[in-house]
Amino acid sequence: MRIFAALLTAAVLIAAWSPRSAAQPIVGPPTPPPVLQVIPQTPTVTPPATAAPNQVLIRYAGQLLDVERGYVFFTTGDSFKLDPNAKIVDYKTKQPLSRPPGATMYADASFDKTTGKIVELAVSQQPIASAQSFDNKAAYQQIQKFAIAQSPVTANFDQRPNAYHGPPNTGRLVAVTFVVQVPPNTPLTDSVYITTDVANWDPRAILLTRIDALHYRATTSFRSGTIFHYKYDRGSFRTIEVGRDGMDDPPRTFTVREADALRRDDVVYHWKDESTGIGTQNIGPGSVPTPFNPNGILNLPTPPPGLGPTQVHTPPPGFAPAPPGGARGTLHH
Amino acid sequence: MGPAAAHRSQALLICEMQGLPASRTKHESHVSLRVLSGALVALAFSLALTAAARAQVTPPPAPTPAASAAPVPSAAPTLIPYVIPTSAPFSRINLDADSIEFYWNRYIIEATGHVRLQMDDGTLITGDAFSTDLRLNRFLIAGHVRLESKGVEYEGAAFSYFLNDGRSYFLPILNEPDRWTFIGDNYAVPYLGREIPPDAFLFPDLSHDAVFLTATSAVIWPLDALLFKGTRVHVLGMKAPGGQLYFNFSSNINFRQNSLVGAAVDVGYPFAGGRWWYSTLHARYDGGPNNIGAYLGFEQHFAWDNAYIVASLNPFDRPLKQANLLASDRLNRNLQLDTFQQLNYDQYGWTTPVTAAWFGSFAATAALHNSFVRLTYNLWNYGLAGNDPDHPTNLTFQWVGFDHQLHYLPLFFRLRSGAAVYDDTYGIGTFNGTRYTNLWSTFLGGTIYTNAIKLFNDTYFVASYDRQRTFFSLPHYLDQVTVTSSLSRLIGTKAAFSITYQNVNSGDYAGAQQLALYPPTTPPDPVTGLPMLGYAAYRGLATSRGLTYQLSYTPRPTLSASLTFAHYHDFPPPVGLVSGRPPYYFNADLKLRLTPQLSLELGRSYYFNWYGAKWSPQMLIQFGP
Repeated sequence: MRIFAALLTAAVLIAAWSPRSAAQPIVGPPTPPPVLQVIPQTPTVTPPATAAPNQVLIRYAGQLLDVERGYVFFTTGDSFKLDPNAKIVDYKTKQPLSRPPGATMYADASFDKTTGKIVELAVSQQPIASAQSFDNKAAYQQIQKFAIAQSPVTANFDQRPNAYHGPPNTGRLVAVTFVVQVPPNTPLTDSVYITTDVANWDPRAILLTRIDALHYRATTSFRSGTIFHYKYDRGSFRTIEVGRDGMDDPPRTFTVREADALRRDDVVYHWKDESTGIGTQNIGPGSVPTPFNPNGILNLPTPPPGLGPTQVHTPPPGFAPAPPGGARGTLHH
Repeated sequence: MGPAAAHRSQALLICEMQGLPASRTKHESHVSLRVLSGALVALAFSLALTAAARAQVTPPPAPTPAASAAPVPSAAPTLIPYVIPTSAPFSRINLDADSIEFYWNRYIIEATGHVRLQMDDGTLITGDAFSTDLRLNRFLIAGHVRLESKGVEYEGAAFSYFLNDGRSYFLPILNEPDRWTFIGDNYAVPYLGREIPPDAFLFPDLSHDAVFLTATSAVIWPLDALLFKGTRVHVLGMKAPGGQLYFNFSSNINFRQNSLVGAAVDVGYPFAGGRWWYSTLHARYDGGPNNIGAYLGFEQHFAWDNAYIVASLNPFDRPLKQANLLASDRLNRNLQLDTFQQLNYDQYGWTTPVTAAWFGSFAATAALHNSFVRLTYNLWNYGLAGNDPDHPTNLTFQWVGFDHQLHYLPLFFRLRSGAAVYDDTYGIGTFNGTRYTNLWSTFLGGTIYTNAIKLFNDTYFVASYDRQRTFFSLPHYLDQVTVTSSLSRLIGTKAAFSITYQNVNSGDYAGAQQLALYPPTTPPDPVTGLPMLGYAAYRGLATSRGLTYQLSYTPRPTLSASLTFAHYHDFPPPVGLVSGRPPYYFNADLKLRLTPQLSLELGRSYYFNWYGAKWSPQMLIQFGP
């Protein structure tokens, strides 16, 4: 009971201690939008535009960021002047809009080639399939000259002074082959996996196949530009690799660059559950069996082929011969 | 430099650049585990409850007062010196909107209608629509944007923040639209006309993705976690109320440490969390021989760059409970402390436990030049409830050397040695009528192995030899020799086949006392009850031989399979269903990626009717990301 009293006292003391995580401000109930609001000066949606008979139009379709104060902003970051008499309609019905156009909507804009202003804006909630979109460089260059900006564009040489200077990453799928050398005492029938933050550190994320007694291999695909962290394990965090110096090293890091295929060679020097001498056992939550952890399942390593219960308390050898299921390897109580 | 160290140094750099106290970095929360003891089993739970209670009473932050408008910058480009990229000056974003949608498969949040972003550095941004890619660590807010921060106010069409770079891009509307860049949180100095990444203001295409949940508000800890409130989870076309839901997507592996055991089925509900911690309620099920049924568990995580604490209580709705605590702290490059504490007790309600037993393990690992040492202390206390005063302990010291190549040969070796002391007042064992309450031992061992030696076309040979001798204070010594040789062949680029033979000889030598230590005996078979005649010849010398065939096949990155067949021949023979290995063993394992976000692993073993056992008790069926 004294130990329980000590536990309780310590619990109260810790509870009184204010950790940062507990003291972080907690978000309150949703607050109303700020009082100061920008009054949109978007032309009303009803006035139909009367294009001059000799007006030459250029069309461009894209997604909207904002329509405000007489300007239309596309997700390219470009802004264009909106003709005061511009016609703003629904893209499909060609009827006036029931609500002002705004962010995330899509629009098919018609530019007056002479003034550079948008004279018609057909708005849709769905992407507009059009050849005259940002993806079409020629179409985009035609209207980019109408974009409004006070400041001329200047290059940013300081943005990434040490940036990678290889081919730009396009996000293509790149086959990455991992080949790992495992410790010579790795159990022969164990599987080896890669756990990675890309898979939310699932300890069985990538299964490697054995190619010889010391090497395992796996090939998987990642998009170029992906930077991920990973470690090798044998199916759980209790059997994860540890560093050459016996300590938990930070995860390995790999950057998938633009290539047809990549290969990564690694060496695992020790496993966390590796016995390095005597008296050691696989200390962990499953070490002492209870009815609730009869065997390693789900989040624990599958025991080796034997069907027996998890070994519990290993007294040193050398005493009376171990009868089957007797003293050796079991609790002596 | 590892990612954690890089993150730390980057955080310090931010502090220096922003003039912030270092306490605003992760260092503030780094709690040394040196204060850990067995009492922490209960403390983590108290901490979680306290934090949750405080969360209920903490008032919402006061709204940012309106500030005077900032001066309009000149149209001329601002000349800036060389600028070191930095990360975002804030660590927490509170998001409120009319509607918030979370696309879990892509870790993207979209919000529309009266969007309000409140950062913990005081910056307030409002707008019509919001989008953030949590993996790319950037966000975009567009439509009637208003930015307030540290005495400046701007209005514009869109604002995009690349948090990894500490750069934000703004489309202000003054007399005309413009393009500005901000660096860090210095919104008073816009840099005009600088190049803006072409995708800075793009909304992601989510037309092929499904919404996982909708919410009314969210808290985002960039690169680490997010917490939704007022959620409705989209399941089978319905929207089920989900309450408060926490998601952790940190690259910090310490968040994934696990102290729960058992359970054939486990579904976690992460109902609370922050940047450094989270709490999960587990609904669990166990069938099996004990037929336990459904029960509840609770797990509490704390994680930092180089340390973690994870504690669990499982189950907490049954009298027989188990509390686990795992903690680790890498104090510096050369020293790491670990502890595992386990409390098993039988308690009805809040009454005094009927029985309680505690196991504690403490380990310290220190890196040396070309080797490391580890000191481990294990303690059992079976009498926490006063019904058993026995406290066996053991203390071990190990030295493990690095791998070294033997001259220029394709041979490598590693050495190890150590000592241990075992103590038990009730006696470790009895020999020749003497009860031994403590025992010493020392050991020396080593492994020599080849690398993969190419014999001929795609065929490789690997061998290893391991030997260890352990001396005990009770005069005897133990020798163990393990010899492994393997022949493997690559079959094209998609398959591999290997044959491995392993021989393990272990001998316990006591000289003239050999027969006293290992007298002839024929113990009864625990299954059949018949005397095990094979044991009659056992004098402490055992041999295990195993031949393993393995075929692995990976036709494509999304599918891999392996087949393993093993034949073991051991002396003394295995004891059916209790210990030892079955003579014949077959295992099949299949891993299949169903979708980019979902994989399936199937696996099961067959024992060829060994003591009536055919299939392994459990079939591995695991869905994963």
